[in-house]
Amino acid sequence: MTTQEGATMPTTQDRKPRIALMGEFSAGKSTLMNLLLGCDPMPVRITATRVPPVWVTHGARGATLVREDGSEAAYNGADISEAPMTDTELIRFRMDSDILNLCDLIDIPGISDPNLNHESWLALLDEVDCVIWCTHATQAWRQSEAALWAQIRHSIQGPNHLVVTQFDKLRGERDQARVLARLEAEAGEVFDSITPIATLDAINAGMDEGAWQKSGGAALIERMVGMLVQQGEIEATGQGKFNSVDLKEHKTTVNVAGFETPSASSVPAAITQDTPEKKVVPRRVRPTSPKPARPSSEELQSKTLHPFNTAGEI
Amino acid sequence: MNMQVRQKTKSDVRTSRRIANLRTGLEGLRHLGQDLEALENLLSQLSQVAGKHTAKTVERLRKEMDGFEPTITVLGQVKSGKTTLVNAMAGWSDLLPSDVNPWTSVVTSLHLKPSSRPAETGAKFQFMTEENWDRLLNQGGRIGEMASRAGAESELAKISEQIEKVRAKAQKRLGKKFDLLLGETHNYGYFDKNLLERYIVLGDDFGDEDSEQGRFADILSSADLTLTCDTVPVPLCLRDTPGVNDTFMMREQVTIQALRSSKMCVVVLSAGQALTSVDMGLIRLISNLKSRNVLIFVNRIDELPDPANQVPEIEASIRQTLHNKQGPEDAEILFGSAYWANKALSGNIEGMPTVASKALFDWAEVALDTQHGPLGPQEMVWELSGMGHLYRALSERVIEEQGQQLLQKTANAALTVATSELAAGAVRIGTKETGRAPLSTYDALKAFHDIADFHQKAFAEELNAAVSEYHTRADRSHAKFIDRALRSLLSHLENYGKDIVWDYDPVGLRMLLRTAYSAFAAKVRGLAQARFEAAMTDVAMLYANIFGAAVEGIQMAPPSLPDLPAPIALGQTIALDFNDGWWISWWNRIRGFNAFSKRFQNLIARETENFMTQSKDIQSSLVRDIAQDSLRDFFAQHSDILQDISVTPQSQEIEDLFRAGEDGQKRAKLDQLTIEIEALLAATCPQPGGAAI
Repeated sequence: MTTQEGATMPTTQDRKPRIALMGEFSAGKSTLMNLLLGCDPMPVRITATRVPPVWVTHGARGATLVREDGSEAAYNGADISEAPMTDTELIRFRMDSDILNLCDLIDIPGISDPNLNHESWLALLDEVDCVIWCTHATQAWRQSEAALWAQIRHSIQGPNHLVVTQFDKLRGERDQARVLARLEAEAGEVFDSITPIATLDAINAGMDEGAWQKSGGAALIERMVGMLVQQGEIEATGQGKFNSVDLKEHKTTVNVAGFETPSASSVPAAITQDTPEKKVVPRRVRPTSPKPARPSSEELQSKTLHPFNTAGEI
Repeated sequence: MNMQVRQKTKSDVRTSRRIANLRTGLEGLRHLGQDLEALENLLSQLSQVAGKHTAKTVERLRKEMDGFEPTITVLGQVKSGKTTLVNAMAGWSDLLPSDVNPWTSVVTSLHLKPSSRPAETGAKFQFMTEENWDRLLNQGGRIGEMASRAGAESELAKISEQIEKVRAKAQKRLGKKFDLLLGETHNYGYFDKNLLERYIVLGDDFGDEDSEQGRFADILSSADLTLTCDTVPVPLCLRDTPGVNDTFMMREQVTIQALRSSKMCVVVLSAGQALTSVDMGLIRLISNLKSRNVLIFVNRIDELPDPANQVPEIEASIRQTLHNKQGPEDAEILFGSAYWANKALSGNIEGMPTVASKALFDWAEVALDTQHGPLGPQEMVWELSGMGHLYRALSERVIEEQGQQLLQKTANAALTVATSELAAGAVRIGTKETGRAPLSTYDALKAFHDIADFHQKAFAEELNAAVSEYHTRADRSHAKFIDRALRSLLSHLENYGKDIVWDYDPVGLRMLLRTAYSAFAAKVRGLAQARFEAAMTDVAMLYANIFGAAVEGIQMAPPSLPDLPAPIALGQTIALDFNDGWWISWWNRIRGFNAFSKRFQNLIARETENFMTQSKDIQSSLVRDIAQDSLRDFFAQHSDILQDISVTPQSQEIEDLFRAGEDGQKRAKLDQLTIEIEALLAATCPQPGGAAI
């Protein structure tokens, strides 16, 4: 991997944090992206979707294809998977979505696709701040994932999160708890949190708050927003965009609160980093907190994210 | 679950019987089973009328038939559902323990015996030997490399580390017992869930230590379970393997070791993620099998939201990838759900999650064959699970690759025995009538051994020549490869410097070696055919010289050369894409590239050394052994026959022989057996190769 720092990297003050979605192909990255964006610009297929990295930013809807030689061309089609892919290195996609007020999202092509090689997007990782790694619940965290993550994680400042997609495919609570326990043992060290999500349930939850909670969507969004706000705050206090608190020093615990409402497809709450003493801590999901489960658009757009600040963690 | 097998569980048998179409797909094997049974019956009759020495040959043939057990190895990534599939194929959900986390840690062979020849239920657990440990550490193709898995080059070091850790942990847990267990075998006359979990399940690394007491999976080298299975018409061995691409890479290593002896493989994929680079690596590792013997079973279609449309899409994508990556394009791809199969087996089709039952109905619309009339719900689920199609595909291959061969070979040998027995009777009559000198056993055998020695020696020399020709060719390819790789490296350094990491595709070497091996195998086959025919002719002439007209009509077939082993080692990749590991630090220190060309050359040679040894020396000695053994067996058989003919007492009176007594009956019996064996051969095999004197 080549390292070219400085030249293309904007300074931290004038840009939003960049969150990349990574994982094996068919691990549910695009579905998760669509969940985060609240609509579905990402093509979702059962087989590998051969689309270059898609960099989604806030703006009037439109797409630009960036070619290998650096030239750019506007693209007006509706489905980006139909855009001409030969020598397209990156798709820049603009749209209006709440979450894009807080960050940029980058969909990185799935690893382990025998028809793609990684080199095309490895360089892009230099511009990424945080990674959300998607792993499919029924075949979670295999060597191909662990090995690639071991190779790249040191170049990514983080915090980084492991999201266990399609969690509802695990039948029964015991199975779900066992998979989470294994993931904690094997990947707890290299991620700041582990969040299970029943992706399709979350998308279909709509306004049904119970379903939204149960799907794990609530926990994920809270964690992301918490992380983004925290970064904003650090920046505001002049400590630099990313602080150097070593999250690995703190104990990982499994928050079992989610088991309080047992149900065939309920998803246990995430494994979270518990940071007891430091001043600046990653936000922790509190299932008992009175705040609404899903941030409304006002909340996402308000600068202070008031409800979170009253949660009493900082 | 209680699966005490001490008292054979009637409940399981009943469960299976409830499903009427459980044997769909196994019809071909049923016919094979009937043929084999008929032949066995003939052999047992033959052994009753055979002479003392030829009876040994018949015994050998019967033993060989007894040992007939086609093996099907089930491979795949971790959590793709291999164990669940094996259970479904054995018609017994819950047979082998599985879990939501990687669970299987040992290659477990399930020996299924048909109910026509029931076997004692039992379990045999073989512990590792020191050699096994070493082999785990040192050998095996490396799937990581073939799949370009990140960090593949330093994987071997990590595997060693993991294995050492496991070993140390086991040593600590078992104390003194550890050394005592190495190389041991534990036998049980039953198995149940507890026993299996203790021996073949490694458990969770993160589980509490207490539960690990008395567990042996980490130091076990293999597990063999024998049970009577109602569904299978012939003995079958299903081998369940630990998943590849597990973060605990020892499991992958165990599986790679098991590939060597697999003739037929089912690669299990998960429908949710079609053919990844790791699956491709695995397929490439077994690509030296005939592609017909690689079946791809796409499991877990019960998890697809829309199988009717997604299945064709997945199939197209897999075919495209196989095509792009020069994989076995014509490999058969089957779709199904071991989950459904087990639901049907356990008679519990109601309790399925919505997704799985929705998928079932969706799939039923396109996949259900309504030709056979309406099916019961359980039958319908079984049919949709794809097990019937899997059975059918496997049956065809078992028959083609192993069944026919065994039938033909055994029947030919039996025919030789029967006709030579007839001749033996005739000799005794003939000698008295023509007044020939009584046979000297000594002379006959000496002449025979001269022929045997001559041919075996000649064959050994021919094989040696073929091997050395192969070696020369392989070495030349190797040298050429090193030369090309070196030139590529030097020009890379000149053009790009050392900042961009060089990599070089070793596919060229593999192709050259594969061609060389094919040529070698063809050569050996040709040599064997010529030599075997010559040996047969000489033996036939010896018979004729010694026994004259009396041996007229004796049937002889030359030995047939078994299939030569596929060069599995060729599937190993060679790490010439030095992207990380020790290479990086070394790479950064080099200056003046050309001065280093000798070192580069050594480096490349060293990286390919193990690969060359595997595919050159080990492979060729395997071939040599197989070829020589065939010839040796042939001579052993005729040595038996010859002794029987020769030692028959000569002093008996002709009248005795012509009396309708025992001897006449025996001849009549032999005549009848000869006719029956010939009929069986004609019915089951293409024209048998052989000669009549």
